[in-house]
Order: sequence, then structure tokens, then C-alpha cells
Amino acid sequence: MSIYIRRVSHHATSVISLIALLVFLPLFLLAIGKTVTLISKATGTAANIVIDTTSQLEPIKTDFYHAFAQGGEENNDMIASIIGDVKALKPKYIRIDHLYDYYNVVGKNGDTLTFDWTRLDAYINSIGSTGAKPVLALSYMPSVIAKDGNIINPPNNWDEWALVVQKTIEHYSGKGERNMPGVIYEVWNEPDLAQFGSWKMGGDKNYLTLYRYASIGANNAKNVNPFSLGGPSTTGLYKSWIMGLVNSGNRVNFFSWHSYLTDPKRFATDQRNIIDWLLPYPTYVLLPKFITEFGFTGAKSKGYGGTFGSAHAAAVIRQLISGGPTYLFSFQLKDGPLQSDGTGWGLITNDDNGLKKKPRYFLYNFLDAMAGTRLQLSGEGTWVTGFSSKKEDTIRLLLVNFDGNGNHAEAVPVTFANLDSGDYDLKQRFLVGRETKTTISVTEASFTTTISMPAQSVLLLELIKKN
Amino acid sequence: MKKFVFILVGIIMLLGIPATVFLSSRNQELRKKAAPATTLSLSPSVVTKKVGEEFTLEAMINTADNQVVASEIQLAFDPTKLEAISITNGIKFPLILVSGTIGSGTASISVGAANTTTPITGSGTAAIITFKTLAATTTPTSITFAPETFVGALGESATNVLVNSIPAKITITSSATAETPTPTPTLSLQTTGTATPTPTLASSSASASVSALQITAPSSSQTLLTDQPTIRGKATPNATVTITIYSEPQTVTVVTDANGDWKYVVSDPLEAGPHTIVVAALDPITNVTKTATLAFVVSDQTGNNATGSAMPISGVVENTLALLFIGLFFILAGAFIPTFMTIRL
Repeated sequence: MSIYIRRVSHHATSVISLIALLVFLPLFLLAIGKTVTLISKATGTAANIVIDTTSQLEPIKTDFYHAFAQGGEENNDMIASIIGDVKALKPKYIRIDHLYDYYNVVGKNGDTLTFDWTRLDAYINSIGSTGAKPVLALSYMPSVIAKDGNIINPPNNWDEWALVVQKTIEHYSGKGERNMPGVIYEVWNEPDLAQFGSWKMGGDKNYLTLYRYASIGANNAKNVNPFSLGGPSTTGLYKSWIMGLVNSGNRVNFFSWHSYLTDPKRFATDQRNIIDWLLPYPTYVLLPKFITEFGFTGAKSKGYGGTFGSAHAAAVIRQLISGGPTYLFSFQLKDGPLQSDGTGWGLITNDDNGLKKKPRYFLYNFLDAMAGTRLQLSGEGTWVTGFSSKKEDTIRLLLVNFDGNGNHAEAVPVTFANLDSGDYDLKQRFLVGRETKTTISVTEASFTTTISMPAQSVLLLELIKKN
Repeated sequence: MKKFVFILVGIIMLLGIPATVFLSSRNQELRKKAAPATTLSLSPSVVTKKVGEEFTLEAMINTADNQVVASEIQLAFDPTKLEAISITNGIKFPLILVSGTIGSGTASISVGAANTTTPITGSGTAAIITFKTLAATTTPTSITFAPETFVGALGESATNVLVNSIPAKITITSSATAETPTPTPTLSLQTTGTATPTPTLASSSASASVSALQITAPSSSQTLLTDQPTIRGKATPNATVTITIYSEPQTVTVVTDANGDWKYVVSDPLEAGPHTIVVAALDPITNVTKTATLAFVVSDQTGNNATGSAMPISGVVENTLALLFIGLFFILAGAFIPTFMTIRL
């Protein structure tokens, strides 16, 4: 056997090395990235919940999350077929958009604008039947006044846009017409999104101009009940848009934005940010703040069909339970058609898929049990968060295990400190899950238990003193 | 003729200097009146606790003339000595704008009025904070309002109307050491300037009756025309009441009479501006130290004792001295230059 060694030139070696580098370097970097992602997903802090049952904080608000939005996936009254189910959600407000492009409201006779409210009125009537007040996103530009007839363009004549807004407000808030108090008018919907016009804070498609003429129309409305006008209804909370409105000098009764964020803590960060921006503006800092759409992603996702969506919503509400927005609008009430794959945003499936309720539908009334005075709670973790309340002789704890990246399950130690001695009923109720009840005896002023929290679960635990 | 001109110049200078001083002081006066003057204080301002114990402080606001709509309260403290447990809004601020946040050595919350048509005025509790002691102190450790603390008011644009803040001093004894018998305020019980003095959001230990310890004079937010006011109040008979007056702390103790009345005439004249009284007394029945807090303002128009308070607060003594020296220079110049020139002539 002989070994033949062929000498290769330096040039060839260099070329081979370069090719190897080009092939393997991206793979190496990809592997590093994946490893970091996996490690970061897996690392976090486990919860160790301690509730001081004698330390009472502020009253808990349970109204703010009873607000819902319905997108325009069908150009008809999407609520009509689910009025009973929506009414059971005890909605305070229901928001809709596409006012002027779906319901043939605005026409033109020569140079005169004409208004036909018949179809939109039917939709507003359905909203009213649920017990909610409407939030009307003044959108989109009526084609009869829009440049090139395009509903995401500015109007040919801004005065006509002001008139459309004026007539809308006079129709729904007018004492001589629908006579509805407390209607909220939001100027446009997601103006920064290309789909809805790519409006900017300047230039040819200036949102501030769109808003200014809406404000003029609102101010021109005669004989109307109190109503609110605001915006900018952007796809996220953006400082330039909020401060643009503040500095515009126009009528602003509220600030609104949408939040599609997987991390629930980002919702609390947004609240801190907007207050920080507005603190130097005393006449604006207290104005209502509406998150007029929220979810974990703006894209359609099967997560909305299962417990991922309900756990996310619960985790967001936990973040906003103190210092949250005036209203948090869940998007949306009903799926659009042809979404039987379960990717729709709805709390209820579409008529073509049996109007079935998804887990998120059951969350809102489930959370209402937490009404009372908030108790001091410590030891929340990366995935398991919660808040506690006391009402009369019942102490309650809401726990949420939300893992935006995987399927993290956790056994959570829970301690109720400074309890009165005696016997208690301990009830555990999972959202769309099992319910248990036991009796415990407290002798040393505290009670500790371990709760098994499956991935994407929401638990209500009640401790009721027995007489 | 020349002598007449020099005399005329001298007279003008003699008149001009006092006029300049007067106008300058008026200008400072106007600035002072325009200046916002809201104060924040922590109550009780003096706490003694053992290691491992919890206690509650109230962040008290005195808005003075401002119509306050919102406040971002940020507290700073030594994280090796203290741990913040919770922070929430006080009864004076019904809205939590940003949820309370606890950090190592920090606690913050943003609170607001219900709306801009009902801004906050007067005195009361802005926030309630619970702490836990971690380690003994050799000297009292402070809980202070961080410089980022902000108070916004209608008509003041972006100005932070907070001009003064009063910290709390915490003495932490080791758990083996017996607690000192001196009155140890554990919880503020009175929200001054409100019709309902028992804060509904205070912790459960705030159950003592406010009537047991009261400050009856001056009244809340009263503007006093004397810089040595008489402070009166009620407590249980024959109790020792510790009185502390801020901003420059003066602490004295008085004993109540058989009717429970106590009074103290401030001995050191107070500066013009906002002040806070904190009184503490041990309830012999419950053995719990109770405190009461009241804010008041000393007017700069005080008639008696014009020594310290005659100087406008927002002015500085250096300006006035400079003006006096300039005036003196002109007086001397007016006196000597004509003589010198006459001699030369």
C-alpha cells in the first residue's frame, strides 16, 4: 500500500477555505442564533406567589376590559347573528370601522352630499341591543368625495370631509335624531398602515389635516349630546402621533392606539410611556386612553382559537389591572367567513362555522369575579403572573401561565399570609377547565399550597372564610 | 451753578437708590407670587423600627395655590436597609395613571385627579407606600423624593410645580434591641384638608381614631400672617406630644393638660412659604403611636419680627447687598467728587 500525497497550491487552498467559510459561516451563525433563542425561551424566573391578605391597595376595575371591536371582514351587520352571545359579555363599548365604504352612507347629487343611514343604522341598532355604546371609527373616505374615488385617499375638498363628520355626529349624537349620549368618534382606523392609506404626520397625506377637518366637523355639529372625538388609532403607540395631536390645537377628547404585542408586559410599558409624554401637558394627561384593538399578533393565527389567546388576554389584563387604559378593546367579536381552520381573530366563529365560542370568549366574565380591593401580591414570575383581591370575606387570586414562545408548565407555590385562624373553603376554577373545592384549616395565620399551572392556563382561586 | 448741579445729581442718586431697591424687591415679589409652590412630604417623617418589620408611609401633597392634575412620585432609599413592598395611590388622587413600580432602592407611581375639571387642591395623601426594614442603621437612613418627581398643574404649562419635598428618616434597630420608648410614628392617620379623615385605602392598622390626636390650629392650608404661630391640638390627657415643623425641622415635645389640650408657640421664626407640622403621640390605651399632619403657609407679609422673613423667598440677599454697595458708592461719589472738583477748579 502506498500513500500518494499531492501537493496543492496555496492559491487552491485559499479558494477552498473561502468557499468553506461562505458555506459554513451562515450555518454557524444560524446555529448560534437558534441556541440563544432556545436558551432565552427556557430561562426565566419561576413564580412564588405571596399574598398579604391584610394589605389592601386600590379598588379593582372590571369595566375596562368589557370593550370589543369588530373588524370589517364582511360588509354587513356582523353582530346581528350573535346579539345574545355578545350581550352576555356585558360590553360597555363596541367599535366598528368601514362606516363610509361598507354601508353606502354618503352619496352625491350634483354638488350636494346626500346621506343614507339605513344600513349603518341597522348595525348600530344591533350594537345597542347588546347593551353597548358604539365607537365609530370615522373611516374610510367616501368614494364620492375621495381623490380618484379611492377610499384611502384624501378628499378632493376637505370641507366635504368635515361635513361628512358633522352629519355623522349629528345623526347619532343629535338630540333630534338618534339621540345617543356618549358616542365615541375615532378619526380613521390604523392610518399609518398601507392598507388604510399610509397617512403620515406631514406631507400630502397628513393625518393632522384629516383630523383637523374632522375636528371642524365635530365642532360644527349642532344640538348634539355629549360625545368624544379622538385618535390617532395607529397600529401601535407612537410618540410622534400622540404629540402631534397634542400640539395640533384641535379638539382631542381621547387618545387611541392598537396593540398587537405578544409580551403582555409591553402593554404596561406603553402606559408608562404615554403618561411620561403627557405629564408636561396638564390639560391632556388625564384624557381617556383607549386601546381600540389588541391581541398577540395582527396576523391571523390558530392561537386565537385556543387557550393561547385566552391566556394572553388574561396576562395583558393582569398587566393593566392597575394604571391601565380607560378601555381595552379585544379584537374581535366574530370571525370572518371561510376561517374554519381556526385562525380567525374572533371570540366566536363565523356563521359559516357554527358560531362556536372560543376560550377567550369566556375570559371576561370569569375575570369579573376578581372585583374587590386589590391585595398586595409578590413573587410573580416570567410566565406565571397574577393579582389578588378581597371582597367581604372572600380572598381571590387570579393566576395566569402564559408562555408566548412555548409550552411552559409550572408548579407554583402560593402563600396567603396574615389570615385569620379558622376553616376556609378553597375553590379552584380553571378557565374552561376543571373546578375543585376543599376545606382547609388555618391555625398559624398563613396557608401555603402548590398550584399546578399547565401551559396557557388561567386559574381563579377563592378562599372563603367559613362561619 | 456747578455746585447746584452736583447737589441735584446727589439728590437724584439718593432718591434713585432706594427706588431701585424698592423696584427690585417688587420684581422679586412678583416672581415669588408667580412661582409655583407645591410641596410633597413623607409622613410620618420619623420612624423607628426593628429589622424585619414593615411600616407604611404616606406621601402627602400640599398644592398651595396650584390646581394639580397629575403627579409622578419617585422615591429613593438605601436598598441595603429598606425594601419597598407596595405603593398605591392616596385618597387625594383617585386615578392611578401608571401602576406602582418597585425596584431596588426605588418606588414610583403616577397618580392623577379624576379629570381636569376637578383638579386637586389643598392637602392630602398622594400615595401610600409600605416598606420592610432589612438591616440595622447606625444613623437614620433617608427615604427621599427623587429629583424626577413631577407635579403638573393647570395653567403652569410644562412647569414642575413641586418646589419642596420633605424626606422621612428611618432608624432601624437590630431585632434583639428593645424598641426605644420615644414616640415612634408607625402610620399617618389623618388626611388633612379632607372631610373624611380616615383614609379608606390605608392599611388595616390605620384603625385608630383621628380624634385621639388632632391639630386644631392653624387650619389646613391656612396662610398665616405671623412667623411665630401658635399650634394647638388635642390628644389624650397627660400625653407627651412630639411636634416637628418642616421645612427647617424644629422638634419639641409638649404635654397635654387634663382635658387633652396642647399648644406650642413657635420660638424660632419660620420662613415665609409652605410648612408642614407632624405631631406624634403614644396612645396609652392601644400603645400605638398615632400621628397627624397639617400643612400651612407663612405669609411674607408678616407684621411682627421682620428679621428673617422680610427677605423675599425667591430673591437673594446678594442682590440687595450689591445694590446697597452701589448706592453707597454713588452717595460717596456724590459727596466727594464735587469737593474734589471744586478744589481742582
